[in-house]
Amino acid sequence: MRNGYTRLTHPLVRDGEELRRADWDEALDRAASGFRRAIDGGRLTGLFSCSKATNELNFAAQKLSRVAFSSNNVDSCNRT
Amino acid sequence: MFGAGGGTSSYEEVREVADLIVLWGSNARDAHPIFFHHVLKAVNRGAKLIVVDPRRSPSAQWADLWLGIDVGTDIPLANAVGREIIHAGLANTEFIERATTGFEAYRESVEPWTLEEAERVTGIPGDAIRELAHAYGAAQHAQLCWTLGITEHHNAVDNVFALIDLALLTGHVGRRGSGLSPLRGQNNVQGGGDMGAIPNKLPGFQDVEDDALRARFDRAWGSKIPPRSGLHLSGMFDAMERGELTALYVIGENPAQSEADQHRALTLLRGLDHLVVQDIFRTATAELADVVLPASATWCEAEGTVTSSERRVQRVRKAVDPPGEARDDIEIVHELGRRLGHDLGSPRAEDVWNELRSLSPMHAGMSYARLEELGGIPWPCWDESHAGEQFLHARLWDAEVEQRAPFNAVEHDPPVDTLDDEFPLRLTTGRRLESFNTGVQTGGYSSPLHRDGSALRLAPEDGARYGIADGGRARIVSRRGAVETGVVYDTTLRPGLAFMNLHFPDEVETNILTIDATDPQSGTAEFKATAIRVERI
Repeated sequence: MRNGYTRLTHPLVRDGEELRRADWDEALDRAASGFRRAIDGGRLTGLFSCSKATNELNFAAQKLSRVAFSSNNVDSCNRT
Repeated sequence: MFGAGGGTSSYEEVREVADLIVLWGSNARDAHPIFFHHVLKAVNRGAKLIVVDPRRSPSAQWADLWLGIDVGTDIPLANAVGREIIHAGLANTEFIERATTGFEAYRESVEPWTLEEAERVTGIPGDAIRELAHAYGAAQHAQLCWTLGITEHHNAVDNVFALIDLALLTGHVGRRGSGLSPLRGQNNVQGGGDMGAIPNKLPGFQDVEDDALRARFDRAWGSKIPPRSGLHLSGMFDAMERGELTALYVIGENPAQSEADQHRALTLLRGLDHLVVQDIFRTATAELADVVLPASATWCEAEGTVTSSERRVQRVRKAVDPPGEARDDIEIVHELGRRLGHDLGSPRAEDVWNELRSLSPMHAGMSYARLEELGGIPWPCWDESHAGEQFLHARLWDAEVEQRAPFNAVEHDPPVDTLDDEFPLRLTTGRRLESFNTGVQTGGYSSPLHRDGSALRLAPEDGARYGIADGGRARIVSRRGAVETGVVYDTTLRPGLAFMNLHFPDEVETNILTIDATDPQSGTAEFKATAIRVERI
C-alpha cells in the first residue's frame, strides 16, 4: 500500500514514460493544445467534474466544456 | 424526481416529524453519518426504522425491522409491498385519483407479486414484507430513503420508479414530514447535477435540448452549445472504446480505480490521445496523464458553496492558501478556457455564483449574504424574499393538481452477472465509516479502523463450504478478473452473499471483479451485483 499520498505542489507534464515538473504556462499550454487537437480533428472531448469541489467549480467546468469544447460531454461522479 | 434531481424533504422533517423511516439499499450509518444522526434522533423520539439491505448492516442493527433482501430483487419486493398495501385497503385512493396517473396499469403490474411469490424471489419472509407494507401504508408521515443499493444496478431507474410508486400509492410525498430522499454522497454530489455538470441539463436542471433555454445561455456566454445531450460517464468510456473520444479532462476524480471492470477502464484511459488531470493528489489516474494540474482542497483552500442531500446550499470558506504552486480550481479552468480563445469571466467564487444565479431561476434568491444570514438555503429559492422550499411537490395536494405525478409500472430484471455453478456466490460492494471512495484521501494514514478493510467478507457457512478459514486467504474470481485477499467471517451476511469494501484499491483492486453493465437511462454501473467464486490459497 502506498503509505499516504502527498499533495501535488507543482504542475507535471509527460515526457515519454515520465511525468516531469513544469511551470504553469507550459502545463496549461500543453493542456490546451491537446484539446485543440481533438476539437480541430473532429474528435470528441470529455470532462469528468468533481463531486467534492464547490458548486462554483462545477459551474465553471461545465461552462468550459460547453463554451470552449463545444461539448455536452460533461459528467460528475454522481452515477457511482 | 418529477423533473428535478433532488430529495423532497429536509433533515428536520426526518428528525422531528416522520413516524416511519425506511432505509432501502442504504447503509447510512456508515455512508451518510450526518444524515444518520438525524435518523437516530427520530428513533430516539419513537419513530420506527425499517432497513432493506442484503446485509444486516450497521444501519440495520439500529432498525425495528430488517429485511435481508437478495441482491437485485428490489422491484419484486416493492411490487409486493404495493400489492399488499392495495389489498389491505391502505392505499390513499383520494390522493391517487386527484394527483396521479397510471394507477390501473400499476395495479395490474403488481398483482402477480403475492407475498409468497415475493418471498421466493427476494429471500425475505412474507411476514416481514407484510409488516413493511402495513407500516408504510398506515404511517402518518413516512420517509423513504435510498442510496446506491438502489442505483448501482443495470436497472437503476426502474428501481427508483418502484419506490416512487409506493409514495404515490400512499400519498407519502409533498407533505411536511412525508417524502422521498435519495441520499447523495460526498459533500457535493447534489451540486454537481444542480450546476449542470451533467450531459443533459444546463445549470438549474434546464434541459439542454430545449431551444429557448439553450438560447438564453448562448446569449449570456456568446457560445453555441450543441443542441443535443452529451455522453454520460459510461457513454464517454464507450466512445473511447470506439476511438471517437480522444481527449479527457478529469477534475478531482480517480476513474483509474473507481470504475467498474477496472481492466477495461485502464486500457481506455491509457489509449487516450490527451488526458489532463486536475487534483490535489497524484492519484492512479494522474499517473496516466499527459498533464497534471495541482488544485486546491475545497473545504479549506477555496471559497464557494456546496449543496447537501436536503438541497441546502451552504458556504465553504478559504482558511489557508493551497500548498506550493497549487492554484484555485476555477482559476485553472478559466485559464484553460482563455488559452482556447474563450473568456469565461471572473474566476472569483462569488462572481461565478452570481452568474449562476442570473441563469438558474431556482438559485436566483441565494446571494452569499443571504446564505450567510440564513445558514444555508434549500433550492428552489426564486428571489431574495423567498426562504427556499423545505419540502417539494406540495402542489400534489392542491385542490386542482395541474401536473399529475405518473405511476411507472416496472418489471423485475435480475442482475446481469448471473450466478451459476462456476460463479456461485453473490458479491456486493460498499462503504465503511472511516474511509472514502478509492481511499486517495483516507487510505494514507494508518488506523485500527482500517482493519480488514481490503478483506473479503464471507458468511461462516460459506467459509466452511469452500474450505476457507476465518483469517485465511482466498483468490476471488469473477468473469472479468481475479484478485487475492484475506478473508474474514461476517455473521451479518446471509449464506451465498459476500461483501467487499472498495476503499483500498492499492491493496486489493475490488473493481477488477465488478461488472460495467450500465443502466441505459442513468449510466450507472452494476457495482452491487457481481458473480464470483472463491478459491483457498
